[in-house]
Amino acid sequence: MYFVFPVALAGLIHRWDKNRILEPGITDILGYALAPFLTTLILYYLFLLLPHHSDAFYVSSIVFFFLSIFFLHLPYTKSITGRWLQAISIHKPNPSQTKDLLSVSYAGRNLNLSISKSLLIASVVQIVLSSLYIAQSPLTGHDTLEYAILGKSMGVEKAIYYQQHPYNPSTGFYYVGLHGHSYNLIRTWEFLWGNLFGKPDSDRYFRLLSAYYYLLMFLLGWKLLSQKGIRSLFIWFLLTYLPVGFFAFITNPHVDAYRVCLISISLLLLYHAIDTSNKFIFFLFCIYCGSQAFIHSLGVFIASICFLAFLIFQRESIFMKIKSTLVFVLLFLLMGNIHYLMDVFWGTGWIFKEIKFY
Amino acid sequence: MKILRSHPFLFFVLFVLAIDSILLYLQTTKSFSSGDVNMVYRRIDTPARFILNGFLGALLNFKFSGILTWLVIPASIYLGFKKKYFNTPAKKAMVFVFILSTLLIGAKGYFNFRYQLTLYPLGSFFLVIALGIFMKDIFTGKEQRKLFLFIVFLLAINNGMFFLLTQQVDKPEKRDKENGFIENLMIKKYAYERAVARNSKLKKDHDHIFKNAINFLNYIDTAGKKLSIRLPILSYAAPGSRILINNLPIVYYQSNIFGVYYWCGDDLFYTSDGPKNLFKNRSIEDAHAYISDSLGCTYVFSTPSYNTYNTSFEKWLLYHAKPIAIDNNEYVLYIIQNAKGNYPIDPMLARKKDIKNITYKEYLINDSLHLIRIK
Repeated sequence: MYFVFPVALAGLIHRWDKNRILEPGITDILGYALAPFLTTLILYYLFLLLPHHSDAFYVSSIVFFFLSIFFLHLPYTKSITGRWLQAISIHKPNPSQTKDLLSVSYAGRNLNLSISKSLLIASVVQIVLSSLYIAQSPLTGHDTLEYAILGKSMGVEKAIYYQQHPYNPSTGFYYVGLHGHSYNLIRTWEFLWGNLFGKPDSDRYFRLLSAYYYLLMFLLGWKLLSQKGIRSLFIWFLLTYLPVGFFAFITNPHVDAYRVCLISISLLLLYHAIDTSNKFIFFLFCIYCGSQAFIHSLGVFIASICFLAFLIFQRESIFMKIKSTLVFVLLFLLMGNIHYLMDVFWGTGWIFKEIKFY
Repeated sequence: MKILRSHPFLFFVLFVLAIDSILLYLQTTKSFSSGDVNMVYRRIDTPARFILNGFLGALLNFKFSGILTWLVIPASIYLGFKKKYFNTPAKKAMVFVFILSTLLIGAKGYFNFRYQLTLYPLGSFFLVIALGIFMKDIFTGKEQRKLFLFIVFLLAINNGMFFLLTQQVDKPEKRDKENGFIENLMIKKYAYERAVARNSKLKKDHDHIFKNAINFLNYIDTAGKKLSIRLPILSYAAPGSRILINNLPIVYYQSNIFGVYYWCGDDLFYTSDGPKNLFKNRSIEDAHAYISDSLGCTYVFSTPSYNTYNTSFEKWLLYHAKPIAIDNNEYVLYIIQNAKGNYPIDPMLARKKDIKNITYKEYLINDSLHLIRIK
């Protein structure tokens, strides 16, 4: 779950990015970021279309899906793991590896390379230590608990209901949130998995998700700036770690690291989609825009702004722009955002109800 | 000092900006004694803080996003107009998205620092690029390093000031050893202070208070659902033992007990028909009767900082509820006086007892001792 799922998706993206517009390290991060989301997306559709089956049915369906991708793309997945091991283990610079993940373009300069790798290792160690702290701390945040309770109840029901008042008569709990279901389905996924192995109350995967996405955000910036030199990397390191609010993304498990990481990736893909006019990159842009919107309602509006920017700044004919719009809307809805439509018509009313913030 | 001689104006500007940043930081992070952490959302903050931390929070909420984020504005102007940096459609699109999203978050998400951090990675990334270009334009060699060190110094101030200024508010546990648990709680929680004062015995014996309120709820739950046949404490968790939960969903997550979900800030409790008011159009006595008789609540689970959001709720707690359990998360479990299904219980006398390798808690109920098995 922690290794096969992300690597399988990284291999999939690596295979289809035939023009190599994205560097290998970036495609890796894209795959890692999408894996937990895709787990929840499949679960969402299974609960919606095939509800009330056993825990084993849902778990095995998702595991089978990811394993199939993993083995169908074995040459690519192998290269990913090899690349990571190489990037971490090598300390002497090798000019031929300047394109590889985490290596810096200062091929001949041992000191800079050593410093940058030390910094990188320090960062990863920091995140791992924070993860250990999170792994020992119970969930206490209001919003996170709301998501977790809903996730658990979805795991018990094994179905998703759209109702005006999401009230649980057996406990008295009323879900006051209005966002997409991806984050709470992370807890559902862990609940189903835990049920199979006798640990239904374990929520470590859910809690550690923030640290996981924080690490991906850090690595994404690191990889993009690695050609700019050691000073840029050091400033990036400081900007990522010193502001207390941003660092709290790790120490307080919440939806934010999850959604902000996918928003950042959407922006990167928007940049490349306009810059290169590549269809596969546009396809990825639609996928990631849709995914971050299914996590949080704010993402729906940011996705709309991103696509508006695409329409304005992409130099295409009107016909092509209409075609792009249709593709975007279709993929956007497919990435779970059909939830918002259903919530408006059959559920709580989404943002059209009176919203209370806590 | 060569850099100072060659670029005195630039250094002066940087120095002033640093001082300004610290002053703004002091202004925007200064804490008030109310214990209310989100005064921006409640629109009761000072105008300066409301604008800086709220509407412009994505760039100027120094407490959470650091004192350098605002540099995105001058850096964009410098790169945009002086260097013609945003010369491709892709770069223009990034600026477009950044501006529109910042405006959207400022208008609709101003009350939540998490929303304000949505574009933080993009802003930071741009800042690193801009600083690189700026340094190459202005400085060379050793001078570059000095400016770089200066930036690092600013960043260090950013973090250091946060810890210095917010230590008292955010880390009260440091004072625990000096003042004791209850006293420490009272420093921040005035409402609770009054409640404790009414219960002098509780105050006197505070060392014996059952500390973990959540576990306490679990014992009630266990008694009611699993050990009902064997233990006389069943009566304690009879149908009357519902809990009024004041916006603390942790109860639902960690126990199976039935709770009436309530948020005193909006005076709403939630039912299968949606939210309803509790104190609005009711006197405190009427509300008390409604809570204990119609809703069937025996306990209240709340935290003192929440209680202050609603004076009616706070008054009701003061007159009709008694705190019986507190834990280190500042959760307080109250028992409602004279409610249905309410039996006198003194958790202060609770103590562990091992019988045949099974650990029980011993409680005094109706002047007789009863045991509850610990999970």
